[in-house]
Amino acid sequence: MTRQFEQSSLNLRPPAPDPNPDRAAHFFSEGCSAQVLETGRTRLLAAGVVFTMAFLVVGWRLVDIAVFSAGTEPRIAAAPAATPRSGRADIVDRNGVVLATSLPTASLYANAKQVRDPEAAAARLVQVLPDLSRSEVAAKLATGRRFIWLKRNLTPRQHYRINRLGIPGFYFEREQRRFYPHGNLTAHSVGFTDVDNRGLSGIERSFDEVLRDRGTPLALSLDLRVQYAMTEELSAAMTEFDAIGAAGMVMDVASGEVLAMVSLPSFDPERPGAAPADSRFNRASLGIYEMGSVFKIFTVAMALDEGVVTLESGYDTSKPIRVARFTINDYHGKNRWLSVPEIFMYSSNIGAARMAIDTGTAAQRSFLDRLGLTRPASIELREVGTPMLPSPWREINTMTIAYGHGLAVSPVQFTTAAAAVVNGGRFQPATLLKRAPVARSADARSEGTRIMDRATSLKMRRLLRLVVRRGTGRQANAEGYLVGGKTGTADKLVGGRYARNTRIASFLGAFPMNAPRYVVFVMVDEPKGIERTRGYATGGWVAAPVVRAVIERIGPMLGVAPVRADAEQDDGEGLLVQVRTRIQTVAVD
Amino acid sequence: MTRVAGTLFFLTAVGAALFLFFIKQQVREMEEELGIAHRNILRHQEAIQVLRTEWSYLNRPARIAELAERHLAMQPLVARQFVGFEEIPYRSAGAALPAPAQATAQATAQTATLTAATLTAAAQTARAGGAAP
Repeated sequence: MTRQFEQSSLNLRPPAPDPNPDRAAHFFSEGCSAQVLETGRTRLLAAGVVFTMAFLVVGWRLVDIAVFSAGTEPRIAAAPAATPRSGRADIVDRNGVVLATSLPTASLYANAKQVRDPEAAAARLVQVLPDLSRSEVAAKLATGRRFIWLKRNLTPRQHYRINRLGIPGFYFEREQRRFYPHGNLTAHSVGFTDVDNRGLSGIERSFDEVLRDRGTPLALSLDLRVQYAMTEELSAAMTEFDAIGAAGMVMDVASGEVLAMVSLPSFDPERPGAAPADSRFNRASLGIYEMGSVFKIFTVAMALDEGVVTLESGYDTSKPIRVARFTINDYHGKNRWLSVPEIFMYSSNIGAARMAIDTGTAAQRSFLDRLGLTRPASIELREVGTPMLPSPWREINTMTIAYGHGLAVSPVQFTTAAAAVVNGGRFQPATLLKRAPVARSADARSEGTRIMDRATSLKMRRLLRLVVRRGTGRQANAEGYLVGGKTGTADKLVGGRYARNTRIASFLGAFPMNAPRYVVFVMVDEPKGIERTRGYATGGWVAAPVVRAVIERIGPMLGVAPVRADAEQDDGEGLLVQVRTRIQTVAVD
Repeated sequence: MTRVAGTLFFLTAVGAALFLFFIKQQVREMEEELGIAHRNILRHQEAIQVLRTEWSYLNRPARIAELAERHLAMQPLVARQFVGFEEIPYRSAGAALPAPAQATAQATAQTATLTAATLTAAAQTARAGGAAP
């Protein structure tokens, strides 16, 4: 091409003088021809310059792309931060302890056509896998089939040792299997999967899609140490009082994070089929119960918040209330005028019922609504119980709900509501997922929806502390941790009637009461009275000691600084004053 | 001139082809290495995963509690063992110190942990020593 170009430029040179001047004159005169050639040359030059420029630009751009700017291609190859793992993501607790994981396992199969000596192969194999029968394996290998399962899901050690045997005709098939290193400790909240690794309950079920897609572990709010402490203390109480079940919760009042969620009896998540349905039932989130006197927390908080009573008001509790065919009586009757703190401290049903009537049915309903007690808990589980509400909600229901009968809620709902009462009056939905730490201001002001005055919450803290210092909850007093709480004993409905000797003993505790950080809820299902407790099986005797033991164990773990017994500022004495405002009995009929 | 240019172009073309060939070869080798590295990473990740699971299994709280009971002379921490700075007594000038032997015996007799009880005992000894002369 270059050569052609040169040739063409050669042609453009001025022509040599014509050797034959006689022939016909040129079409153009001599001067004219020179001018044309000149024009052509100029045009060619211009075109050449343009082309050269264009080539230069393209060339420069090439160099620019290839050498200088590497475009979007990174200059330094970087490994992806977390190489995505194949298989279902792990579930870990808040400290990163593995609660559920998928492991590749090898399953052993044989191609019997390639096994030369079935007897010898079987003899060597049972040395590694002693649970296999030698004769059976030999018989299987002698059939001459191409594919025989010998053992599914080997441990890595077995895998290695079988490999070392070097028997021809033995092969491994890789499979994924879900493992739960902590077994039944977190079985209800973590849940379990089926053989194809599909979540069937708990977090495994509610986060099934998420776990399948993500490569990084899913961190739960649970703290395994707290979970263990709660499980151990609960099962000790269950054994001692011969109970049929128990549930326990520990919750961070500011963030709503569940640190422990225990439901007993538990089951092995790797063999869920072997457990009875009762063990798989999550009493903490799916079970709904009439909670009994622990509900007075909400009654008193409501009456204080609505301004119906003050800490100095009081009610006459000397006579039982008779409404229609019901009689409301006191368990620890004092038969006199009791102030609001006394009603709470001695757990007077009569006082609570009167307080609720004075506040009104509509107000009670809206208050319980705000505390989330009238709708299923919003925790990340599918196993969530729907509360049982009275319908219609009459005045008699208002009175019985005041002391925790006639409205059944799940322990999760109850604990969440109680956390809102002590944390400064903000409702924070319960969560099983770890949250970024919230600013630990005294009351976590920025969090949650306000459901009551801060002042009411502060009064409730003093009242709850009073119950533990001087009232029915004395056995929950963990030294140094300023425990506050409320006992509850509810008769269970058996065949539509309240049975006297089947009951639920519960205790709701919070600590430390000067700036509550955690609520602890314990519920024991059908405890029987024993000699040590003089035949009592009430919340104060059964559940309160569990709460004390749990708080004593988890307090140091959770970094709650203990307070010396003599350094507690408010001894609750100030709450126990003579009744100043006597609220006369409202006629009930 | 033409010939020189032609030779030059030809040589450049051959050079470029050779260069391309070697680069390509090198890339292929490196890709193979990368593949091996990836397989190794996967294998190690699986091994780590197995070890992490085993670690978690060995750290079952029940097992730790049992091991601690068997091998350690320690007890769960109780609230009484926490002491604030303001409760630690100052050594007053001129006061007789508690006899070191006695103090050590006291400390070892309990555990190595600094308990509130020992501290108050030490404070009392210090006060008594100060008052005696």
